[in-house]
Amino acid sequence: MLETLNVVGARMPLPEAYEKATGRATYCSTMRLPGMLVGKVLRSPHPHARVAKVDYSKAESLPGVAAVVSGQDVKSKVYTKNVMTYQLPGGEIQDMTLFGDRVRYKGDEVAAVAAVDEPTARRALSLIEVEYEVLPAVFTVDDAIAEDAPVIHDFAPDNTPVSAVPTFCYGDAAKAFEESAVVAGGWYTTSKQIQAGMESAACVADYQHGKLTVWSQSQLPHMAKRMLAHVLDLPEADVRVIQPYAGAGFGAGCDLNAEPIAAVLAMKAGAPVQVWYSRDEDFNNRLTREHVAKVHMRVGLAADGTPKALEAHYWGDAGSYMCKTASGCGVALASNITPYEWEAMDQKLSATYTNHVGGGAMRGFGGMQSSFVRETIVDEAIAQLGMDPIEWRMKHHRNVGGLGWFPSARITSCALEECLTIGAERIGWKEKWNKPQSGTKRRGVGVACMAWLSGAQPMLLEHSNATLKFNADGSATLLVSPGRVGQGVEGALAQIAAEVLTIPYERINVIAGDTDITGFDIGTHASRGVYCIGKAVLAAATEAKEQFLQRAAEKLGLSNDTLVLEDGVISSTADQNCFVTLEEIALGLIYGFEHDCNQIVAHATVEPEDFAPPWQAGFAEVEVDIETGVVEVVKWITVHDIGRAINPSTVEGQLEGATCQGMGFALFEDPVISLSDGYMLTDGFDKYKIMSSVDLPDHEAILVEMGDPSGPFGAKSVGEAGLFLQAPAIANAIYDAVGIRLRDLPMTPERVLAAIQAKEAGV
Amino acid sequence: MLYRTLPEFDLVEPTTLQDAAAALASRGRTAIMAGGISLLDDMKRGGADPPDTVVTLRHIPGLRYIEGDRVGGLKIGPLATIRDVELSSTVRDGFPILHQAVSKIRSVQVKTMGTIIGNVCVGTPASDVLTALIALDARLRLIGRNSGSPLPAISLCKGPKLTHLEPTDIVEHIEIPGVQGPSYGAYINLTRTLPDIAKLTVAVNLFMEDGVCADARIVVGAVAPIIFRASAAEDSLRGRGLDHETIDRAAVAARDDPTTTPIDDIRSTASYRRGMVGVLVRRALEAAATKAAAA
Ligand SMILES: Cc1cc2nc3c(=O)[nH]c(=O)nc-3n(C[C@H](O)[C@H](O)[C@H](O)COP(=O)(O)OP(=O)(O)OC[C@H]3O[C@@H](n4cnc5c(N)ncnc54)[C@H](O)[C@@H]3O)c2cc1C
Repeated sequence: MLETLNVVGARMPLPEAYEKATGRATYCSTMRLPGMLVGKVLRSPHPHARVAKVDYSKAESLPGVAAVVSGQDVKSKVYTKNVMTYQLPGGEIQDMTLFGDRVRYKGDEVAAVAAVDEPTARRALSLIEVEYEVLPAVFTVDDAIAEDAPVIHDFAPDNTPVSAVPTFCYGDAAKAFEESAVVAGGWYTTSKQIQAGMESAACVADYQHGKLTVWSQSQLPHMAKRMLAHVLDLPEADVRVIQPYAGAGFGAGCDLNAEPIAAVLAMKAGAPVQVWYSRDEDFNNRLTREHVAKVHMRVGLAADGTPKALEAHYWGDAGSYMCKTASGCGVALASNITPYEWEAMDQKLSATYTNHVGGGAMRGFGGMQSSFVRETIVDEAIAQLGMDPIEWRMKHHRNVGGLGWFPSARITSCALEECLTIGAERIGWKEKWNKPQSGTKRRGVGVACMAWLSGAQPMLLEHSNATLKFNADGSATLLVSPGRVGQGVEGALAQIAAEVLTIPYERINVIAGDTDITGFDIGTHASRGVYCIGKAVLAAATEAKEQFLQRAAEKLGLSNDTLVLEDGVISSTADQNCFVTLEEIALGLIYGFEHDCNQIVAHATVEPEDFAPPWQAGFAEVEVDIETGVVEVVKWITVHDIGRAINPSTVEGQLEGATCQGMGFALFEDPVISLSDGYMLTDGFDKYKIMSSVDLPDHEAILVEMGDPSGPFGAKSVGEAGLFLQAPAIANAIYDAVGIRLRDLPMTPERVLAAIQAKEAGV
Repeated sequence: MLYRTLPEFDLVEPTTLQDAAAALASRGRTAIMAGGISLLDDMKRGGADPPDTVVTLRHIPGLRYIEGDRVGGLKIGPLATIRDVELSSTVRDGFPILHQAVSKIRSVQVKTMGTIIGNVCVGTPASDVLTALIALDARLRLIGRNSGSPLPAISLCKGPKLTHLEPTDIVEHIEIPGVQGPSYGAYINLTRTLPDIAKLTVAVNLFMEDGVCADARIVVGAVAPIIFRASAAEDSLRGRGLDHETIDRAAVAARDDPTTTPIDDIRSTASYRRGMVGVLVRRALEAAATKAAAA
């Protein structure tokens, strides 16, 4: 059991809750600056073409138009909207040029205008004359790798710049398969889910006195700054990125949208410019989930169930620009390593260009595709051996000290067995699993497991900084820079600082999201916020506490180690009446007249070494209508190994929200791309359905808190973890109910029924 | 179109139906607005010929009513919302098919703003409301036209979102004829998520005499350009008891009806929809037969 703490573990309200609930919070789309112009983007009507000529003279002379920009106005720098690229020299593939002479999907950027209002901006767009030389286009991986396929990027003549690259392999897989008693697997496909934030892509840029300020939804403000400096050829010192609250996240803020365009417009117009996508524009031009289009996977188990080998080939459909497709496949493969003790693993990845919108990042990056495929195939192999899927998982998962996600990382904690035990009990596994079903509506239960990460260290740079600055009244400002996507991390960070300093939570004022004010932080991705930034806050708060103790020792004439800090009071362990409050110390450090002023400003930098996997078991009970193929989820249970919940309410909120997204991915979320021009036909919430409150079945999120030795107060991550297991556990429950194995997501009634009918027909 | 904003238009706010009719007749491209849900959405999407004058009915007193009973028949006024109908005990007890159909619309916002008549006048082949109304043999009373005979709901549409109404036509009310003898109905649909537009709608209404089906209406939506009655299926029921074979035969007849011509779209596939016509019609008939047997 973990020791009970004061602030950490309490259900505190989020600092931003009042502002948001009362409508006072500012977002990029609600920002209004004096003289702000409306920016609009001219987009290609063709999925693939050469841009022969752009003439915007007529648009420029339209009254009310402040600036028009196209290729001739920008330095032709190769870049990528995937800002993570800029953390390492070389980085990932850069294949974009701003307003380049080639457009590669219907919607690609050709020019942009800034005008006094939207109607004028739109009229100006219609006055821009563009000559296109239309080129043939392809919309699926299979068409893009065909012999005579058009070349989408000249540097990749076969459209597949990443081709069967071996990734995270060990052992002798061929031999391990030979020694296997059962082998299961095949080809799988998954959907290109959409992040579906409430706020469509929006940004504001302003260029004054040689300095560019960009208000962005980016979850990675410091990386956004570096990318903007690169593409606009500005010194990094001259770029400032501010993140107001973002009304969209779920990974959508991992890649930039119109920020470079707004910046170029603002620089030319000499006034602030806001670019705010309409909803259909957002659906068609914001990078979607990293698109692992097809997966081939096989696993082999020995007769006694011992995991022998896992072999996988993940194939990404990059769309028109690589962005995060290859890295998504890489993460997908990495996330296969942790859960089970395979004797050998043989994995590779490919990524192919096509002519539709590119694949970015979405919550559950890569792990979604892996969990679905791996957990259903494992279930299939276990069934062939006639074993109980829970018992098998209890026995064969990796454990503390075992191989981590990335080959050099080791597992620091694992509460999977507790998760499985609790969930099995709650769902009624013993009574419900593997019971013969008859009638039109058949019930089944399914389970799936996973281990995720708390930051992508040691693979990626996960550098975080935290600064605590004390006021004269003993309260503090905490400067940090996570992405502000509504995940509640700022509250959790304040709880960590308040716990260490033994002061009330409300006395920590969190300032975030401004690259000129906060220290460096990679930002929010890879479920790293509370773990990585939390470690920095913990270190900064501990340092501040030391400074307080030092000062108290001087004032009381005692030595540090005879003092304790409790409830904001430092007292002598020997004499309770000998004490000083933090407030008194803080006051004296700022307004002292003894020539020893020294405001406490504590700073810490961390680069965590461990990846602290949170483990999880997900349980589904379903009812399958064998005549319609409709799958009703009767009950959903997530049991999550959080280490320690800094704020249980936020953790549960993360898990429940993720349950909605995970079920959408499992059952119906499916962006439909036109096979004639690559345009996304599901270009609004009327066509692209996400789960609503009336659709959400009975569900529970249960936390297991056993602590992780590396996490702040034992905490691990939860940001992404909640949405991996719906697809595989539901698929496994469908198998338990009706005996079919589904290999394509989403598992729509159309697909379920087809599989049931194929089974009946003996195909 | 990449942008969705409302084009400019004149808003006319008459306080009588006569003034509304006059405004519609005297202006250029006009449209009536009830709840405005479909109309404003269409205008934002920038259809070919958006109206330049919108005549709202909202300021005309006395148009929000649901009157009558099962035996005498029902009248629904132009401003009666879908929510009003859902909450009406008259509808729930006397016209359960309509109650079931509107209960399937899961967006409370849409039900609260949207009117029954507005829903019907859009003429979408996936309307839950119109499917149920056809099963109830509803009629549309138009102001200043067809003064004798109202327009049967079944004859309203000529294609997807295309009706026989002129822009100057105002539906004064929808009437559902009263029913003397016993009738048993059911409404079923299939959707992707609960608040989504249906991929298939089915309503049945059976009139029984001495344990035999005297008359039947079997209505199917979202599998043809317009909502239709599966007449061969209906014929196969007349004069028969509601045993399993009879029901199965009717369901197959509805599925194989030449009018059943579903398409592939973002919501479903043609082949799935066709198969489901058979399943849903059978289930609706079974539900109605169960009620008849219990009566
Ligand atoms: C998110 C969403 C979900 C929906 N879900 C469903 C669903 O599940 N099932 C379903 O059946 N429908 C559904 N709908 C459709 C919805 O029910 C209709 O859009 C709504 O009822 C239209 O009513 P309204 O009063 O807003 O009509 P309006 O938009 O005001 O009018 C619609 C049309 O009818 C005409 N009109 C209105 N009143 C009259 C009149 N008295 N005389 C002549 N013409 C008239 C208008 O000119 C216009 O052409 C949904 C719509 C949305 C946006």
